[in-house]
Amino acid sequence: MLKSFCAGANLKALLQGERCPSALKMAIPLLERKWDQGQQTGTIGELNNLGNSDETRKVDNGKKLLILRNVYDNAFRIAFEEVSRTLPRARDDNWRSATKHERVAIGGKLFATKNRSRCNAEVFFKPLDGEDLLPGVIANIVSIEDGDQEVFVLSIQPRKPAPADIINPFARYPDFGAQLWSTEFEEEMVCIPTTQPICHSESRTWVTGGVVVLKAISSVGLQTCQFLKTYGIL
Amino acid sequence: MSSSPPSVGSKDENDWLDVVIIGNGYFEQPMQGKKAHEVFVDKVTKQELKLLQKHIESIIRPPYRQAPPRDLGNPGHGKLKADQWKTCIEFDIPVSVAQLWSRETSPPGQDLDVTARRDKVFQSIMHLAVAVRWGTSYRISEHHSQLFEENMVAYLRLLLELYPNIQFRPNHHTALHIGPLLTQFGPVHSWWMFPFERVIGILQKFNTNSKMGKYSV
Repeated sequence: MLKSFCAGANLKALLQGERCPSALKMAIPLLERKWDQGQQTGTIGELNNLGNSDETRKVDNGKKLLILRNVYDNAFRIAFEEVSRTLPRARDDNWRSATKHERVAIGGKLFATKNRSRCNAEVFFKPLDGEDLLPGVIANIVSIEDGDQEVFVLSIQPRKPAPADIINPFARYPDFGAQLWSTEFEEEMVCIPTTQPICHSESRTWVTGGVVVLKAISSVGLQTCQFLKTYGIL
Repeated sequence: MSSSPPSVGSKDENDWLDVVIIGNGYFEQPMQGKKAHEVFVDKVTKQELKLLQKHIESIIRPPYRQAPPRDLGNPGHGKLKADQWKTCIEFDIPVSVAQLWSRETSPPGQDLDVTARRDKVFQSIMHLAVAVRWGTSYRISEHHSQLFEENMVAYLRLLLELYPNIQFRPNHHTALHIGPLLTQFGPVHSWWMFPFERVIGILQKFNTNSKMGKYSV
């Protein structure tokens, strides 16, 4: 606890110093408000509270500061583009080299191919052309060169839906989040960049053979991604 | 965990040899005004417990999720950690109870009263699991708080319905205060007591001379 207190004090000192990055500086009034009044929490929540309009807030020294909604949106967009880049479309004559990996960390969580670690390969993911999270297993992880940087792409084998005649007791409690799916997988792989929402899942076989019960394990990263998608930032 | 008394009216005494009770509070029922099978159906048989343990063992989960002990229900494993309880209530127990006791999966020909009562137990567990899910979300809004409260109240009401003589614990009461706190303080991860529990754990491991308040020489 003492360490976290000192870390908080260091963060405050950093924010007040000249070396503070501009993106963080823009968040100072929000952080100050949280520390001083403690009525609202979380930068994301604060951004949400701004709504669609700009807002004037008082900073510690009594000065008034105009918070521009679009400035915040841009700060988040830039931050996300920096940490998770998507690959631009390649021309036919411009081949890129790719490297295979067995593991990759996304949002602080370790994901692996099914051959490396099954428990880190069972995931729920959002395909590029879909809205719902789908269950699947990571078959391959590749990084593709893009200039002097690398972009990671996951190829995931989605699960087939459970047979229609299965009676699902979890249908009564959709908020619980458990779903029944087949133990079999689609033949066609789905490729997604690591910018797409993805999370681990818990699973086990169901009463009837050939069916598994799966539940997505929610994470900060997943919920932040969903928030940014909702607001059209990502 | 304890074995149940063998005086269960119409139920054969030998049946109780295979019965275990998980949690002394909820599963012990006074006999007064209860039918024998109403008392009996809430018990977890040894066979069901073994099945539950088998289910838990077969779960595939990422390593950062702390699994409950393999022999869950046996006194040997000691007290469960808070994280293990969380894993249990978020996935392991609701899914196993759904498989064993929900009306959708009840064996054909089972007594309708038994099916209905067991399904109510399943419903109460699901309400608790859903309440925990809304309450431990990383984002909090009025909607989260409201749904947490609704499910927690539904869980407690079902407990009362299933076990009218139950004595609620202080934790049942305090759980009803969490809803408003969620909107005031935000996601529970920033104000729950796990960091303090961790420090208490560290302090408990310190060697002392058992003379509190005195320095060692």
